[in-house]
Amino acid sequence: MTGQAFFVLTALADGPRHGYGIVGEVAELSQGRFQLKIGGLYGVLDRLAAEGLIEPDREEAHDGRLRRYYRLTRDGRRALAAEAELRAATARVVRVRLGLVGGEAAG
Amino acid sequence: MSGDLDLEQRYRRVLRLLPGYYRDKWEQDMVAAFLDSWMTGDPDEDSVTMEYDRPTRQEIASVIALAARLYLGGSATPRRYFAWGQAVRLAVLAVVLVHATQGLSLLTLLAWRRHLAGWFPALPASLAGPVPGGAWPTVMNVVDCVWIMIFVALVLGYYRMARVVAALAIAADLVFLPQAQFAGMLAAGLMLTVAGCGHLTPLGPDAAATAPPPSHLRSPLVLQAMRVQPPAPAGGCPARFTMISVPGNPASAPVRSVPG
Repeated sequence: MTGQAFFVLTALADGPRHGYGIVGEVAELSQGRFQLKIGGLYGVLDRLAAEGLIEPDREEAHDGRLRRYYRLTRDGRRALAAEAELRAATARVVRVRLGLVGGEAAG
Repeated sequence: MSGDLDLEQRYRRVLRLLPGYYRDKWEQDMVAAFLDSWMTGDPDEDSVTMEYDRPTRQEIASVIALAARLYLGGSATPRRYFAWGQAVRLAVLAVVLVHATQGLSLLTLLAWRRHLAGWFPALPASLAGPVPGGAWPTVMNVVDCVWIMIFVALVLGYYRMARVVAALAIAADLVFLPQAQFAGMLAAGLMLTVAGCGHLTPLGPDAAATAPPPSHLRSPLVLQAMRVQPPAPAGGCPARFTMISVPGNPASAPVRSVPG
């Protein structure tokens, strides 16, 4: 799973969001390190929708325009949980190898 | 005239770069997201923004990158675009193969000269000249051999590594060899395009999502391509290269010439 996809799925983990809401949430989640462009975002959304990981939730009118909200599917939630677990395990190994924390894996 | 357009229409005009099927599906949504990124909630300020502001270069670049990926048939694209993307991928692969073959020929010649393969017949007198020294020939020989690595990386699916190494090899070619052969320049154009599209390229993980590399790289076309020898450049060989006949291999392969 790419970094972009991981952040987009994470942005939808606690509830549906519209396109620009996802951009803002990703910037906040990554502490400003990840600035999604709209073109990039819709490339990711298109792929995630095709893979069945997200789906449209609802549409809301805002300033005369329709905002479409997206939510995680059950498969999306499962994929995100698996990716988070993988990344956390990797981070633990990295910390041990760098000597930042003690652990059985240090040997 | 663009002066008559408001910001929404300007965005819609940029989005015309995208394939029609994609616009039908996402255009409304994308325009709303683009405009959301500008709107402040202050009617006066928003009115001025709508009238005078324009899509930023970064936004246009992101749409161009998305269009390139869609037209070159990444994942979730219709069959027509996917087929076009496959054709481009095979073309890139063929160009890389030409370079890799060249590098292999060079390695073979070097091994032959240095008697590293004892079972090889004696080196023909025409090839027995001195090996060129110095930084320039060494760098260019290394660049030639690096294409072997790039080809293997592409075949095995290590796209990112292939892109990075190819970009370095092309840069070296462009810096050191302005008179590069046509195939080299073609490769440069293609690979720089590929590199410029980042991870959303037809030779990236995105393409792999729909077409795992081993299957499409094992297609009969590629296997056939792997058997052909690189063609001689039109108008004869460049000064850097000479055609030699390798015993046991009736086809000729270009190797770097050895200045007297």
